[in-house]
Amino acid sequence: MMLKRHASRTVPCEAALAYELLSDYAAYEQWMPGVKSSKVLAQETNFAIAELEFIARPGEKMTVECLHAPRQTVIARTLTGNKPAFKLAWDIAPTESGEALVTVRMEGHLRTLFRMGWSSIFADPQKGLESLVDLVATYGDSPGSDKVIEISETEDGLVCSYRGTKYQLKPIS
Amino acid sequence: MVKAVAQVDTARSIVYSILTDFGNYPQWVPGCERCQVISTSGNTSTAEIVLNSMKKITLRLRFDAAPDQLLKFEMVSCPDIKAYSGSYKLMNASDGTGTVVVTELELDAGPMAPRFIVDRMVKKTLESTGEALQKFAKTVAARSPAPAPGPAAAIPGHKVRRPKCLLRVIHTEAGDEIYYGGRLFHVK
Repeated sequence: MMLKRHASRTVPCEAALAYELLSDYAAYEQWMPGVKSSKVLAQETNFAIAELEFIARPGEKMTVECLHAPRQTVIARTLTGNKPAFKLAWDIAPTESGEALVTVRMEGHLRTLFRMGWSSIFADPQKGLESLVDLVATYGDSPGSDKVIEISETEDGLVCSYRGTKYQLKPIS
Repeated sequence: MVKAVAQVDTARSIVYSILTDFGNYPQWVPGCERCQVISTSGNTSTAEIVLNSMKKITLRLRFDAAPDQLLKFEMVSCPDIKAYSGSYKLMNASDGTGTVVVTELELDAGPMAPRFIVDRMVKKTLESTGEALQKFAKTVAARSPAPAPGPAAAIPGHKVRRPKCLLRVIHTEAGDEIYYGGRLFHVK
């Protein structure tokens, strides 16, 4: 039995950031519900091949093809003829307030839900959007806001941004 | 249509040269008993292939190549099947260690063979062809000099880590927002 589910919500960031996060397939493991590990095998301008492992199926890697149209659409789907078949499509549209209206549509066989687990994005696309909002919160670039201070952990150590000026933090003890 | 992905630890140019060396298909393509090039013009070739898997068939295929990137093939004639077409798309592996080959194959064996059985067989064939290609490419690479990188050389697989926010204070018209420890607090 084929299932179709969808959910929408406004994400407090610009459409460009939402697109950047959604098309960063290697980072799915950091935020997408039900995903244990993610790796990009190959990537070209608007096409990528990625490998996903789900929490419900540890050790089982699934190859997916990903298509993305800048700032508008991101699609991740099973390779044609492979099972369990699913498609996860994200549509991004800017709102009048400068935020991003994100819609996620899931298509898949009922078996997909069993295989990917009930806590995965396939069972509850809304959960995927909430995770995206949490992820966006770590960036704090919502339109119309004034960033006072931010301390971030980067590859170069701790960085503090205060009133638009960046400072590199160094341990003193 | 069935798709499969194979990871080959060899440069794209070598993989491309193997895929377009039609006369050598019997050396590595599972079930390929014979492959004879009939004609070649530019990047287009026609070859006659004898495949022996569930049944022995003789196919005449036309290959169209976009060097180092894509090889399409389509059946010109075959008395045993209705349609046979597909492609090999070559991409540089993101970790910089080789080539990712995306293979597509559409096989219509006629009304006597149900689609789901044919597709299952095609999937197995693509998987075994991918494994055979990987194995054969290793032997070819071992005796070839190191090739130049492909046209769209990949950035070696260093995964750039995004900055992780630990603490942030934002002033908005509705009040202040404090992000700390993965949680957002609103202060009015």
